[in-house]
Amino acid sequence: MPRLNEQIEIVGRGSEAIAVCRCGYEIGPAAENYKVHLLMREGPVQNAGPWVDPNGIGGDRFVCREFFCPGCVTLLDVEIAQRHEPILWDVRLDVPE
Amino acid sequence: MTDTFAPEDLTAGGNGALDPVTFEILRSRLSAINDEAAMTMRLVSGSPVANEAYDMNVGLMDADGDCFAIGMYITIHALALSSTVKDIRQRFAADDVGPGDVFMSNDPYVGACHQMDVAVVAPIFAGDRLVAWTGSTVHQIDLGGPVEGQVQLGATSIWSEQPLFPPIKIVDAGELRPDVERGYLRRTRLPHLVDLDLKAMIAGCNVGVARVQDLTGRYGTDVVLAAIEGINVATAARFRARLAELPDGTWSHRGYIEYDEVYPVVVEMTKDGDSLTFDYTKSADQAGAVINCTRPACVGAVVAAVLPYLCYDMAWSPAGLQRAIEVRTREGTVVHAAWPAGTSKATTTGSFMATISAGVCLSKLLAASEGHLRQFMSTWMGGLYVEDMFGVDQRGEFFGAAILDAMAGGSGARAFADGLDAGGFLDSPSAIIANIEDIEYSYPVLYLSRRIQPDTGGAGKYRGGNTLAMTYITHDVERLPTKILHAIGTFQPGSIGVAGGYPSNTNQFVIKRETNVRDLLAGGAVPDDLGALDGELEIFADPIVKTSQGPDDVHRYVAMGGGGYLDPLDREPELVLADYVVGAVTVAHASDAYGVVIDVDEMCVDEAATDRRRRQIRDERRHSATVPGAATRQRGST
Ligand SMILES: [Zn+2]
Repeated sequence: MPRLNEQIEIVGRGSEAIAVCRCGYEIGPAAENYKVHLLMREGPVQNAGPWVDPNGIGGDRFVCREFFCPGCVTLLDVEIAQRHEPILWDVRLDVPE
Repeated sequence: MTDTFAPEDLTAGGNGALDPVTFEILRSRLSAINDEAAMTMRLVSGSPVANEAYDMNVGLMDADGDCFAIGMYITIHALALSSTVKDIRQRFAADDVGPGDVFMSNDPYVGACHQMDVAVVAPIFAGDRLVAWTGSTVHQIDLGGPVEGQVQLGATSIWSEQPLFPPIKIVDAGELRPDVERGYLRRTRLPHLVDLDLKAMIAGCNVGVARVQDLTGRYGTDVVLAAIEGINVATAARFRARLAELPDGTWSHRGYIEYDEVYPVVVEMTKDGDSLTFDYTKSADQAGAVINCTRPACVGAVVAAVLPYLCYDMAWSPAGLQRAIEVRTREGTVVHAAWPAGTSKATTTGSFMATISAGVCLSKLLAASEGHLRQFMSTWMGGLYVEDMFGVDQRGEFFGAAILDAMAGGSGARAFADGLDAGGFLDSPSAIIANIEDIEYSYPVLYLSRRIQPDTGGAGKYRGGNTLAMTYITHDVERLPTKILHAIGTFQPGSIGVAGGYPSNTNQFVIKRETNVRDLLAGGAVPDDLGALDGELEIFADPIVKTSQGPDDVHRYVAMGGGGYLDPLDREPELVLADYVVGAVTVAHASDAYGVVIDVDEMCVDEAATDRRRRQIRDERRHSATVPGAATRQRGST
């Protein structure tokens, strides 16, 4: 079974394939960015940790996006991006036909 | 490095001219020659950059300039040496390249990673037959230009950076050319140090030439040439087999360079069967100067990422790998500079982020593989801080230095264990940092502290390695007149986490001015916390700063840790406690990031409170996050 990582598997074939969380929650079609189907919390880059730009020298240019499974609220990805940038599609597996 | 070859590799390498056993002997010997050349260079060089921090490398190229064996130091130099040799092959008449010749170049548009990484290369002849090349490089502390050191702050093009020299012959048939040497040294503020490094690089080449000639004499030229081609063939075969074991797909990453604005380094990595493509064409347009790298440096940067992630058990032949890797770039970008864009800081900006961005994709490729998950590593230190320092030292001599302590970044979390605290950085399998005593002996500084900084590694079920924080003051001099502090990863953490791991900290540098540190020292205290000192804190917002340090100023910086792996709420509470006990994690971070409540009196995990805290964090997640649906769809997704 192809998998994005230990947390997310691809189930099914071709256009029927879907991304599934380890809890069984069906995230969405494998042909789409799994992250747009997750719960997302977007906040200041400082949300990523106590030593992330603690003096705020970068202003509010960068954001921390945390993506959670809507089923089990496991954290499935943390993305650092400029505020204006779209959600990155970081993993696109070739799905078996 | 482990070099184990399967029988089919040996057959593939044999190509008829030599038997597998001889092939293996020669392959090992050529690798050992690189080691000896590197050690020679290190011992001849007086530069702490080479001697204490190993910011250098050596390589062996075939007659055409393809690098079949790279030394175990800064791996990006493989392509620099290779491109420099190819340029010489193209530009010099065949009878202008002879036994005993040595060439040098610092031209990034030819191949040098940036102007400071001078490439010195020498042809290896067996009789009158050109059989191979050897090369060496050491990062130089000053090669002229308006600003001391590497970073040409204020430069708008390569014309306001260090002068370039395309390949020139520095040694002609065994004789050093004094006019060329003099011309080279004329441009630096540190002629003695730069001259010693030049001799060190030539010495490294001399070792490579002599030892390979010994081999051709003993085994015959055809046998050695067959072994060289065999190394490339075997590595390419082994690498393609490794790729075939991994899942197919496309991985993307956006890394960032902070400069006058933010420059994304965007890569899309496609793994298809037994080939690998890295596409950087969506990266930011180039800056006028300073942060760009040229295409050879970008290709070298990819090789530097592929070697540790995928080639941990095969011979490190960049030429072999290149047979299965394609690197796409767009001229005029920050990773493929168009003339005359400047490149003076390339190895800690353009090419550095090219390596990190490729590394993130490779780490996620391994994360997608059940069979190779144990080789997974989350992101290593994703932004390097360096201080270039110039002034008059405690002996009254003019000096220049590059302080490279921040190379002790955190390594990325693994799939079964944490990253290493102060584990180094991805670009060098042999990264070390100087002992404090060596730095204090060489330069007029006194360290108040250098230690692992808790909570700097990215949180995760397995956390990223923590990095170092340091404080120091001047020593035995009135002041340090010139300090150039420079880093990327100051606004954002370059070491991102994978599959729910958090990123590391960011690079930070501050100076507390006009403190009472001398009084405290006189009273017997060693104040290593800025909060305990009087004075005014100067926080630098720019990623490149030129400043000075007076006798009562305390300089502090925090380097960058490694990225985490998986949701930190899945971390075993006992591991969090163990981190607390050794000072790797604070009580506050244990609760905030891991949901683990530590009873500091009993030195144990409060299990009931931990259950409650973790439930609370999960509730917060559910209530503070939104189903992206329409909103994010509108913003699109790339
Ligand atoms: Zn789930």
